[in-house]
Amino acid sequence: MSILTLQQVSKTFQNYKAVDQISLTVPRGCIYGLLGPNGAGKTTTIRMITGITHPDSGDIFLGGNRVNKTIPSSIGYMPEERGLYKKMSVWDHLLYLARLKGLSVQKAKEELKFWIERLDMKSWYTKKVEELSKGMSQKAQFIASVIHKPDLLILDEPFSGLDPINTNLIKDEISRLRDMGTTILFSTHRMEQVEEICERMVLINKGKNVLEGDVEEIRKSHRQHLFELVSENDLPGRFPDEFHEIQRLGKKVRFNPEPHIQSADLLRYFLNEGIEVNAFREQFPSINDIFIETVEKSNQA
Amino acid sequence: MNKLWLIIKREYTTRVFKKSFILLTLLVPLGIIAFSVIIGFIMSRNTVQNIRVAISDPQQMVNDSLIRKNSEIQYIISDQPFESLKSGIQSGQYQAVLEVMPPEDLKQKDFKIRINTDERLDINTTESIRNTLARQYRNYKIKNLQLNMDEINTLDVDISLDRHAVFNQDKKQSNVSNVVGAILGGIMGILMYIFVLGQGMMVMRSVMEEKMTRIVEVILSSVKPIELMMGKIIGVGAVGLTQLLIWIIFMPLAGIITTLMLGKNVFKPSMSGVNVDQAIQQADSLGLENIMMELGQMNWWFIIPVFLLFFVFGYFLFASLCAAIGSAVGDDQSEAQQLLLPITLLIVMGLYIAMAAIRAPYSNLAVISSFIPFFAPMVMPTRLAFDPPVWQTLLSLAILAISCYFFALLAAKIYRTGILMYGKKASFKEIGKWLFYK
Repeated sequence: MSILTLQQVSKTFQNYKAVDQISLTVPRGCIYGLLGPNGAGKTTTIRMITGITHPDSGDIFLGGNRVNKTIPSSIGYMPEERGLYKKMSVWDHLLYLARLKGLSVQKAKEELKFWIERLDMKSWYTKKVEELSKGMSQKAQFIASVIHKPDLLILDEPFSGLDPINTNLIKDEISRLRDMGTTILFSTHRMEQVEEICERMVLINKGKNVLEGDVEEIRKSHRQHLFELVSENDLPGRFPDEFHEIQRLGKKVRFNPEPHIQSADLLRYFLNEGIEVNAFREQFPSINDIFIETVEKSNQA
Repeated sequence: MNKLWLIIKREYTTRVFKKSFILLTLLVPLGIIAFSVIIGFIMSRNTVQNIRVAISDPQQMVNDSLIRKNSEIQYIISDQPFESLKSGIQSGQYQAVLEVMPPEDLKQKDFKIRINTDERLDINTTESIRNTLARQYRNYKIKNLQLNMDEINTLDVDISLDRHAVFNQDKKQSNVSNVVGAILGGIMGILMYIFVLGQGMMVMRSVMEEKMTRIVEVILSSVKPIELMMGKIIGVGAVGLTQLLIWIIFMPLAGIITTLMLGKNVFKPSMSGVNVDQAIQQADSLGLENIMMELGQMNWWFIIPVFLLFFVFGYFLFASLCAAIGSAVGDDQSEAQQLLLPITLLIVMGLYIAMAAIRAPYSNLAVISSFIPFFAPMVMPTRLAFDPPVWQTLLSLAILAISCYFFALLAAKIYRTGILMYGKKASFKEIGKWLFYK
């Protein structure tokens, strides 16, 4: 069951197609990565999903309903270009944003207390926004996007400017929300985060959907038959030619063998030769590599 | 609707409960009090030089009692010739010696009187001495021509026109009603001008700030752009009204305090300009009672609601344009000023036309500009006190209301796109294109 579906969605600004016939499906309850280089149309796509702008053509369905000109309240959105009113206190500000999402004063205060405690902001909520550090205000913005318990949470570069401790704090919250049934749409160009967090992803380039699917499957389907061996004892000077050794760094060797040679064949050879195997694995390409490869390919097309 | 209310509330409370607002609101009346006290004090000071003047008057033409009435400069009258009075200058008894002679020909009009002094005389002092002497010569002539003082006084006449309607049984119009209308119209026009310009700028700055701090996208994921824009315009307008109300309450207080501190007629004698004296005389001749009566006769049940409507529509018209500009420019102040210029020009032109309309509320200029939406909010209210034809008032209001709606819609479209555009310089052409985005 999908929570969000885009069908042939397009949006043009002044002779340039920001989004060009994008279709995608986000299953309910997963963490979904929206990737793409700068200017690929990620933010425009998100803005159309949140109802901030409207597509020129195509349809967007949210939980089975067509998104029209009303702003869907079941979405929580943390934009990349984010800020807060500087002169307001954190508490007043978050209360205001929660009220705009349709929460009653009572309910908003309850939720706010919960989140301030949870994100360790107790000594900060009486302060003015302008006194907050960047990380602190980021956390405040995160609260603003989740306080109304949205079904779909859209996070645009949520970790930019966060230190490792706060990054982990937010990551944990994201997983917790996912476990509670929230679907998370996660937009970024930091690929290692996608590998770490996302289950599914779509890659957008020049306004077009160039790659979509399960993150692990994408990695598998892009593997290039690369293997890595780590050995503590002395490695032989040469491996058989058909192994195609491509790199040797200290105790690490990488192979790109002939297609008929499988991992079992390699392992058997190492054992027969008496090479101590400390680690051996097939190398999946990183999302980063896939990203670069796919983007370059689609740029040439 | 609930969200709009929340936005209005935030825009209002964050401004009104800010220290700077409270301070400014209270300080402006205090500042005005201080200013008027200081100005009053300066104006009430003797501005002539502190000198004593001897008058050498061998033939005793100077009237002693008349000269003492004017006490700005101290005069010493003597029948000695200048030569024997010289020593007085040396000893510092007086600083100047005037030599007066009765005119040989009573028909002579121009006199050259010698003043012997080493002091440099400033304009005010020269003026004062000239006036004193002129009165003396006039007096001398009257006496020697054997004219009757009372008869001369009857030569001055004052005319006021008493208008009576012939067929139209409309309101009586008198000299008083013109003056009252002018004052009332002037106040309305200027109020409108200050309010529209001041609050319009505030709306613009606030939109720019929202765009700059990047809060806007967060808000827009909860409310529609038009709600945010309208909420802001209404909220900022309410702030302005609050300030206005406080001042309206405070201003009379300021006046009272000033008068108490300086004594009653601080301003009257001091401003030495003839115009002020005349105006005061005129006001005196009109009489407070007449003014009050005239005010009582005004059709307040019509004027006040209509004025408020013009106020609201005028404010909305300009404020939504300001919001559109704010959304288009972002953080570039100078660019904002550039785009704001046409609007400021319109408002200033409106004010000038309004000022002209006070003097000629039935002129073609006044009537036609009442039907131009950008001028109407300033021009029509100034004319209201002059009892213009009802159809003109209503037509003007209708045109304004329709254009207000139209421009608010237009502004909302620009706002919607502009507020999310970062880093690009928006030309008028580009802004024009935004109007057609979905």
